[in-house]
Amino acid sequence: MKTMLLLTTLLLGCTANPAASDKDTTSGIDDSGLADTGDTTGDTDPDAVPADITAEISDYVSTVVIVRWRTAVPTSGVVEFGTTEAYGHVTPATAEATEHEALLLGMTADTEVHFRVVNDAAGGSVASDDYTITTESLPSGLFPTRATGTAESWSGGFQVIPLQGTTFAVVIVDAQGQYVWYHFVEEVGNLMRAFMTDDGQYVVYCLAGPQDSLETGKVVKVSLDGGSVVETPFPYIDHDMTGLPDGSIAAIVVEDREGRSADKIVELAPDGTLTEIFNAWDHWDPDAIGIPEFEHNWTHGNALDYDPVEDVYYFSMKSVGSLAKIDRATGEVLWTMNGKLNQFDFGGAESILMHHQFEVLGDRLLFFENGPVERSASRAVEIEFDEVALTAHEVWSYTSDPPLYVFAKGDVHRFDDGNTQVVWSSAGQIQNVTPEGEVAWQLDLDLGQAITFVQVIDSMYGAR
Amino acid sequence: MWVLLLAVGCVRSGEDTGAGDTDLPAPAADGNVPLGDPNNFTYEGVLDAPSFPLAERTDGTLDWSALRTDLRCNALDPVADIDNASLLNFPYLTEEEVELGLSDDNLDQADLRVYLSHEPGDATQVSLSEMAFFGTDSDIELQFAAGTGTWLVLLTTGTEIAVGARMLAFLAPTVGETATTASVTDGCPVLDFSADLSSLTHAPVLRDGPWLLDWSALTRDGHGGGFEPTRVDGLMVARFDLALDDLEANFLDLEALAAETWRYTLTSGTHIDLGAATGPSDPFPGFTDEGVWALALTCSTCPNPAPLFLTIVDPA
Repeated sequence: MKTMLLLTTLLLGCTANPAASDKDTTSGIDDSGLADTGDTTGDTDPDAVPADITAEISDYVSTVVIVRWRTAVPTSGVVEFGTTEAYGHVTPATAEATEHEALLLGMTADTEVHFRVVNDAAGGSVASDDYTITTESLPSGLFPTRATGTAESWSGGFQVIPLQGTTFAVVIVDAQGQYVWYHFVEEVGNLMRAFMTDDGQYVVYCLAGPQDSLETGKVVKVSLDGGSVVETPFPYIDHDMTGLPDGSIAAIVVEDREGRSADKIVELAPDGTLTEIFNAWDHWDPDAIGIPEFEHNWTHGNALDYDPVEDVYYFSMKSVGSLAKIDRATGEVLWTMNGKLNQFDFGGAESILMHHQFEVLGDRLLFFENGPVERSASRAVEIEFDEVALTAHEVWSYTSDPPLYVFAKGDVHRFDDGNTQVVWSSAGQIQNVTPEGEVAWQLDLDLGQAITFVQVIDSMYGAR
Repeated sequence: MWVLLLAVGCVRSGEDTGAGDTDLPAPAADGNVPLGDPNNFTYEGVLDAPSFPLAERTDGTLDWSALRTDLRCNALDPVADIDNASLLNFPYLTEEEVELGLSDDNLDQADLRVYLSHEPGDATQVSLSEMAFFGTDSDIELQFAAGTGTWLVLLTTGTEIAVGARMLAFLAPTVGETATTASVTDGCPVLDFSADLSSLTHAPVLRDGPWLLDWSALTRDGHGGGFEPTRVDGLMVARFDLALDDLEANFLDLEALAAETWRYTLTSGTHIDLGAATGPSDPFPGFTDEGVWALALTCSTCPNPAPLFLTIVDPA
């Protein structure tokens, strides 16, 4: 158990309460110092007063604070928290109960955190006084990031980043590029994708096995306090996965046939059931579409996304250089764009060349285009397309100055403010660029540290 | 050569900082041992790696079958000691800039365009096309072309990126060149370094403890870069039966030269009770008046093999 630096409260009435926890690092306070919030109306229900408040740092994540409290009657409550008494952050409401627990997320290491508990009560709400606890140091092995630009110039909230290289870990960084959450990955494999679940309870990552033992692939679900790590075998998973609203995970899975391999889309249901949705072997012939023999995996699926509105998958394939839209219910290929399977008329212009991650934005598609080796310059490209007329044309692009060439991975995301996140994966760099191509924010990593795909989240409590 | 730049700025507290100084401050009675920048050694070096012109746009070969000495001039077994061969392309840096960046530990991943690696097993050569990026193949014949910047090959013990380097060399894709094999043979001339352990301020410690080490005040590492606590993953305390001059001359082999060594694996933080270190006797029994005692903070995943912090301690 890590040291708990609990409750350097301003209240003189605070007393240790060993009964609040069996952990020797945990102390509690009585409720003598509780104070009504400013918006309390009428007389508050004394049974809703938060009592036996304790706080401790997670054993597993030194930036995560766990707050627990009790109430005499079942009620719901939240914790307001932040780096000052103005707070600025609030946890999701706890379920109606007498025992409550909340995680304070999004804080950086070695930071004093102010917090107070606010419970629902008859006639309004009732809050505790302000307490503080200091988060602990980052662990060895998390090398510092270098962010340029201000927090205001970063368009999103947090970023879930798989690190691959000197350090194998899934981390979450804030607008200053500071680590606010981490989980080290000890096993050998390819750490491709991580995302926070919609409910904000877990970070999920997929670990593809080494190329000569893809059967060892797995999906790992880690609770935000780091205390629960659940592994589910997902044999032959490779490159990418995506979450579905029902909690299922869909992934790219490799299947060997006739001495070569190609990809399929397989869903892993919450109960562990695996269901094949689509199989490239059933739709295309590698010889007929001109995939050379040396391309062992002739599809080389490298990115996958799901659209719950249309119930379709979008599946990017490196070897054929194409993006396919696939009906989830039938496995039917609705259209293919770019590369050897291109069905779209680009008006004489070149289609997108060798893409990785993408984002569907209505009638627009944003691609990370690795580009051909000869060009030696990757870019973010946005196209406008008409999937009925099967026409497409480029409307925006961004190339770094000087150009960066990313031959493995690469990711893009469009923010609400119109800026674009460009993840130069193998270059260990993330940029936030304006529509005019100005770099508003940038994150760099040390030599030896690459990034795979990145999820942008507005909140540490699960908004995707 | 790893050059000694910061030595000028280092001032020791006593008139004479050789081992056995007697005019240093007494250790704190409570055992606290604050460690700061004046306590740290200084270290510098220069790399001068061989460069091999090779035919461009060709699947070249790196051969280390004749390699018998590593960067530190230590004997090397080309089969048993080489676990990984990697190829790194820096599109906008010259060979000299790459050497300087490696020496100073200040290269960014974005300086790198290509990182490919291969674990050779018992082989002592690798073709460039065998190398891959975490399983993703690379079209190296297309990429390895004149005008694409600097191509560095690293032979390492262990498989972590740029860590555990035993030999490095440059491959220069060259128009008109017909050679397709680069054979590295001798690592000894590649690295020239110097370390200064004589100018630092010794850290007074209690002979029999307690020893509560605190390096939270450190701002610079021994290489002259900013000190980052999360890079530290190990602590070493060692006794040497050698003079400081000998230690400086053989600085990169300190661990092998130590008469006794105790270690502690750090997971976080900037404080430790030295009593937790383990070694020939557990727990750490305390300091003696014999030999020279050194205390080091190490980084097992940093490209530069020198410790981040090293000081000489004076038991009292």
